Amino acid sequence: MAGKNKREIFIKNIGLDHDPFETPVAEQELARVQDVFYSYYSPSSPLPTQEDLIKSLRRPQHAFVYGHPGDGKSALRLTLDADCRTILDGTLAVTYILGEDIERPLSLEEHGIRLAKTLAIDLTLALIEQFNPLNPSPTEKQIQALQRQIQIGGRQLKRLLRTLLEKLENLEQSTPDPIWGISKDWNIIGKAPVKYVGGSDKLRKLLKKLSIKIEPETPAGWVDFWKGINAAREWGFTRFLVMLDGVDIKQRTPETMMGLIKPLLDMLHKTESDDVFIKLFLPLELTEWVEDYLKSHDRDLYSSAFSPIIEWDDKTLRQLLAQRFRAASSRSGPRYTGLDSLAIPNLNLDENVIRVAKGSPRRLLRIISDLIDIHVARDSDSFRFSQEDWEKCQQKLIEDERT
Amino acid sequence: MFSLSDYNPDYFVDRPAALKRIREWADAEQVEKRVLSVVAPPGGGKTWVLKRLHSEWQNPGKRFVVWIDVPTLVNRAEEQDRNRMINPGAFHQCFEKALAYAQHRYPQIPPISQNVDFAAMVGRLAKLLCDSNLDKAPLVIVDGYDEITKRQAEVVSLHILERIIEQPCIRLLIAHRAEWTVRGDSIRRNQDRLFLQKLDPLSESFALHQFKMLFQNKYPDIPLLDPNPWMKQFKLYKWNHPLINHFLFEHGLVAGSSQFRQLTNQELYECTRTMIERPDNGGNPRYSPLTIDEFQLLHRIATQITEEWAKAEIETMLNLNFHLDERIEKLFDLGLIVNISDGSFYHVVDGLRDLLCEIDISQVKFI
Repeated sequence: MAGKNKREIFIKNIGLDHDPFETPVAEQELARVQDVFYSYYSPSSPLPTQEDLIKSLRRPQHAFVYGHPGDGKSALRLTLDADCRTILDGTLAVTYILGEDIERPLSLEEHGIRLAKTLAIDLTLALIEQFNPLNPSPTEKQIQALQRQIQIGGRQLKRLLRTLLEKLENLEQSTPDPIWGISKDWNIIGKAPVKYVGGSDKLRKLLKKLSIKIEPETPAGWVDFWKGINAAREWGFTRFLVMLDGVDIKQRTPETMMGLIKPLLDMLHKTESDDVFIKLFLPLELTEWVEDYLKSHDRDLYSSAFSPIIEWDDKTLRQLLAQRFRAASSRSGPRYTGLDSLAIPNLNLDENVIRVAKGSPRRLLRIISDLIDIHVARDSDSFRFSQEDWEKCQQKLIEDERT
Repeated sequence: MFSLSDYNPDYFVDRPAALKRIREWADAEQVEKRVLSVVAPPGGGKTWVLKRLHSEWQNPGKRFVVWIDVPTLVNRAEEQDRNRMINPGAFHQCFEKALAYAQHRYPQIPPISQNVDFAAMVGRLAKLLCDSNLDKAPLVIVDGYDEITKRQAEVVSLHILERIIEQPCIRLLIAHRAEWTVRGDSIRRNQDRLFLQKLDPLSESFALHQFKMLFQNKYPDIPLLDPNPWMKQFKLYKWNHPLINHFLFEHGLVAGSSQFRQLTNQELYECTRTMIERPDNGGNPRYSPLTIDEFQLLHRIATQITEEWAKAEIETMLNLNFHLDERIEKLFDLGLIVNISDGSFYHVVDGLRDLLCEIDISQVKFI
């Protein structure tokens, strides 16, 4: 990005407290602007349903959410996770990312080991987030169940607990973050805070009990996973949403991507009977592959699963744009509702960028980011995008597409 | 002088469509969104609607309902240190009242120890309520949310309001102006908005009803006057703002007699100030008053530009940057200028623009 400093000054001058167009990829945004990331969420217009997608995805059923790269699958998955962590109806959200470290399709057992670990992390995090010192103290049985989960959760989780414990032991001396409380440290495990989490002596005592060293056991895959589910039930969770994402991180051929998820598709009946519902966020090209697989292996599941496709139209893209400005606006007074507020009259910039974005939020954000760079390179003192800025931006878009 | 104490909601609330819609939302077993925002410009009747429903729902046995007047919970002067924005004394008072009410209604609810963590206290009470298997969803009514700063609103949302709606049995009814975004992402995801003016557009017939109620309350022994001929002196004002209507009737009616009199430009100016500067429920000023310069700018916008305008028009005419001008910012924050449906057009709020157009500013002595 050219002239970062100039760009920062421009963003500040137009009255925004951060740049809401800098990174168009959800995971990168989560790391960059974790305090406001969830404020960016703006719903798409999914097919075939018109209802609130977050609400639909919280239902107790398996779901296959399809979309092109950049359509907002990961943003939706992260928002669903945040929703489960802030609206407490006994649902535990478990994030399962098929990351870059996966070199070949995993066996069912390997999936089990990875799932057990991510379940342990998300369960512990949820319990700390929901911990209320005014509720009855946890039972010994609950604590023991969680101690085993801490071992399964691994080094990252233990590091988070150590950091929290240090903080809570010095609670008298330190002032907690007034917005997020102790959840500011969630970045240690790659999560963003979603709510205020207060510190207390009762929580300190619990974390101290959880931190005792117990003999490490050999990872037991699905056995550990179901133990984790039982531990979560012990703490009052009744429904489990496993959100699977990142199928296309490494290789994008349908055969490879199907190879990654097939062992889990074969498990769906078993998990459903134990209130574990898998929400798969998949590239659009897998639609037919998954459907064919389910038709031939499990017709009941094929007809009962929820399979929305993420789509964006002009209206929802406009709303997304307005929401970005709203989230980034620090000052009071009139808000920017789109780029037209920042452009010379009659340029119709909102309409133009949405037209060339072709229904892709990521493309839309990239175009706007390029437009800002082009503008500040031309005249960083001006608050107005010009015809020339837009023409150069279109030119860059054509060149980028050629290469 | 105009007195807000005369402004009894029982006389002036006439928002049948809005009341019906809110009652239906409150009574429905399942709702798509558990947070309902009641949206209207300043003085547009939000508090009256909520007070009416509150007193209706409070009737013995009807349902569990709690009223939160946000400005009373906040240290209004504290605009920087977020740790000091909630007033502990006011919070505990409000909490104890809600807890006592809950325990009276549901005796199984145990005591909750007073803790310094407000979020923990609110979360505990909310959970206990939802564990009580109530026949109707408990309601929390939040008023004055748009009378505090955005930072204060953020703290109130994260420490109090989000702790209420994290329990799925509870519904939140919250009043604010259209421009005022409710902070807190979980609230936003669960929020629906009800625009009072759209559901129940106010007209002259509303004003006549309002006058009848006011007159009969004030002069029960005098036959009702017909205000129509007197109302015609206003060529532009459409009698669509309850607070302005009230001021005009109150001042137009000659005290102790059955006659109307013509209002002066000075009185119309005072009417706009009353509307803008009216105190909150605790009798404290909601906002700092407009300076003469700010008032004159507002008057120019109302009288010299079309009813709905794009910012380019105002920038050309007044040679200012619409998004960065501090006077515009203030007019916006006071809810006097609003954005039309998040589009690129703006207008001066309903009622106020027409009233400003009635004022010959050269005849006004600014105070």
